[in-house]
Amino acid sequence: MAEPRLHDGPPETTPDARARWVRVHLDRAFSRLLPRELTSSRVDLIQTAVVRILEHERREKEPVRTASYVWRVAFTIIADELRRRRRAPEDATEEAQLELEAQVHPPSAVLPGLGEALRACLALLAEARRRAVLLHLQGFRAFEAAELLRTSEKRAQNLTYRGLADLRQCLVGKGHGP
Amino acid sequence: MSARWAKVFQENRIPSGSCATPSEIWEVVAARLPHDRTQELLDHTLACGECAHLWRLAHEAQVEAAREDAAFLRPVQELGRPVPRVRWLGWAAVGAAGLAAALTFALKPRPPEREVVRGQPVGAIAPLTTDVTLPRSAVVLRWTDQGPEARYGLTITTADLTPVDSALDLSRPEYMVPEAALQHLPSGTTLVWRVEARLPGGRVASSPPARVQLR
Repeated sequence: MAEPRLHDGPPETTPDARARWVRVHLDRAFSRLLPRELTSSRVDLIQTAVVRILEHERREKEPVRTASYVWRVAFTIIADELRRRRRAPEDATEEAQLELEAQVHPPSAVLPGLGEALRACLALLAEARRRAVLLHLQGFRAFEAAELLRTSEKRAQNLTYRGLADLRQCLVGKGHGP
Repeated sequence: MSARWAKVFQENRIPSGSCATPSEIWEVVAARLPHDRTQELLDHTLACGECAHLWRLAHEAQVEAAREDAAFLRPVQELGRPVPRVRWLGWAAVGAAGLAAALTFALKPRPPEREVVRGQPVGAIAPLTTDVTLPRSAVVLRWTDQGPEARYGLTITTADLTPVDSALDLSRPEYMVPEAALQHLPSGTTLVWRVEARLPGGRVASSPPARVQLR
């Protein structure tokens, strides 16, 4: 039987076809989202995700119909595992622990001290500008930031530009000029 | 300039303070939480590198998922419903039905997803039947007892994740897989199973996936 294409909808013909559809989307979600420090647990995490989806379908008596749900399950499983490992480092192997340390405490920032200065300056920004800049630094686009900030796209852009200007000025004052 | 700041900001993964659950982070990134709570959680990401990281993961996941859903929610066929074969209905009707089906699904109220509470051990149940080869007439799966009030649910799949069997509301920490559920599987098939327990006070504990092989 042919493998389902990524953009196929969820088939409802057979359990096998549905399982393959779920697997295709989970594989893609985990390939995209899984941090390097969890690579060795990929198979177990995907199994956990499949079982969680099956349990959801059994509980709701309705098949999962959207990729969004599959991605959400992948995200929550990865997030849970990241938190579990960061809070139970005694369970980790030495190699995994070193990897984790490197992730949590990166050995070299772009400039020493810039991270601390950045957070200190962000904390000093006016509230609305700070939130807009935070979203910008996190990779949210203007229309997405506008939705989260409950404002217009134009205002979100203005808040971001002005916030970045304030941030630049503050960083220069702390010795982190352009 | 701001790209360099973003890189530096995103390097921090250190957790700090009281964090939201992953499900709540998913909801806030999807702009489905009240404004006050959204602001509170966004402000938290300034100090908490771990939550900031999870915001980015959730954002990336939602962008990709929306792209995939947008691709397959258009035609009715891809919703798993039969496509009208009568040509005169036309694609307009198909599209309208697809849109209606998508809206029906999107607007249907859903029960809140079960949360994994911070600090609760994940994988607190240990599978006792694991990495063994069993005859299909005697596939008995056992796990650590969670007390007399625990009720267990179990899901079994093959290694390629095809569902094999499941059970609900078990009161004992063991389950015998019916031979009938295994009869179509060839010898050497690997079964993957996982159990979840509902405990007093509404707590939930689960096991990691375990594997057994059919003789």
